[in-house]
Amino acid sequence: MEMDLTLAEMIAAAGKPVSVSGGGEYTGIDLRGVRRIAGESGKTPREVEIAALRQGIIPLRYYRNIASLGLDGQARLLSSTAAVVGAGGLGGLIIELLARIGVGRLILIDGDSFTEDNLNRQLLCREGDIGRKKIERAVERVAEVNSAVEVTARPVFLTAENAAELLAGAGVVIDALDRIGVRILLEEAANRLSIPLVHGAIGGFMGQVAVVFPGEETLSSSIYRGEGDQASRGIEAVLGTPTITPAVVASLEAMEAVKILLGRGTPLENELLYLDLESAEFSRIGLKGGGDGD
Amino acid sequence: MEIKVFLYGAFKKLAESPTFDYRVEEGTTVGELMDLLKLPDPVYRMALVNNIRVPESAVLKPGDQVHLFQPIGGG
Repeated sequence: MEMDLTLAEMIAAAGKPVSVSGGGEYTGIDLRGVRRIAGESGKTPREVEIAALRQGIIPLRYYRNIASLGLDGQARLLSSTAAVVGAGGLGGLIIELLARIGVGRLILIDGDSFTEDNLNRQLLCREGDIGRKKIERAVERVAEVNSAVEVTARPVFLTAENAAELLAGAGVVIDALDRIGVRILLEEAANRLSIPLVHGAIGGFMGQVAVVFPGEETLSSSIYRGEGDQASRGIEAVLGTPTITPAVVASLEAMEAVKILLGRGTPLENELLYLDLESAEFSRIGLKGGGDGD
Repeated sequence: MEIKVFLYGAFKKLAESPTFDYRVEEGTTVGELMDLLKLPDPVYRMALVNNIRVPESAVLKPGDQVHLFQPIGGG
């Protein structure tokens, strides 16, 4: 308790008035202050940021979030854990967004390494990264953009055997995979662990997003019903995975994940959001599971 | 009998409007409808009938709402 009081006092002492362009000011704590207090208190920067928010002192890095998320929402995100499965076109962008919005703990899973044809769309992939493990670069990138985020890096492919262990502790699981079969496997695993799943996929300038809550089988019984041995692919086998589409779908997936973590908004439950970027059309199609067999 | 068809993505250009009423014979299957509408590439097409994913062998009923689009799986 004395330790916490000391932390609160340290944070209060580090809080400074920050003036806002256009008038007004707020009490904030900057990156250096967070790091110094973490070093002196033995807390992690993430814990210092949460404590500051609870005291009404805003880490400057989140200031532009606060009007939308609230102090409590920001603190809740920092206390949350998201698992991102896949660190390619969708995953790299999702990881970036979750780190910047301040989801405090990320479990990042991908066994793959970068190849040159990833450069068109994969935010994590730079020319110098070809051949490197995607997860290694993901860890580096998160540390570059938000060092308060605590990362569990798992440079392996998700399988039926390792899924439960990899995903344990996540408040939301995000599907950023690139094969239909393993997406179905992920849905099964998330269901077994009772963790909500955010699904997204791309093909050409089209994409889709859906949310699967525990007990639902939106992927296996509806969207991908009848598809889906492990190597199976959709229209991306013909249309490829061009630039831009993953940025749109990844943004929508990240938003659904944040909504789930904060319990706010209306999730895309029992619906498929189907995006056709060439026509700038977003369609929501209702989904009912099962049916009466084939 | 009459059904209602909703086309998405690349399929939209196969008709004047992406949503239309369509007359088919009793017993027509989803796969036969897809062929009648000339949906390209039989490997990459899928249907929801009344919001339920169905195989191409499913037989259509009067008033069915049929959503036709391409499966997407990339990342």
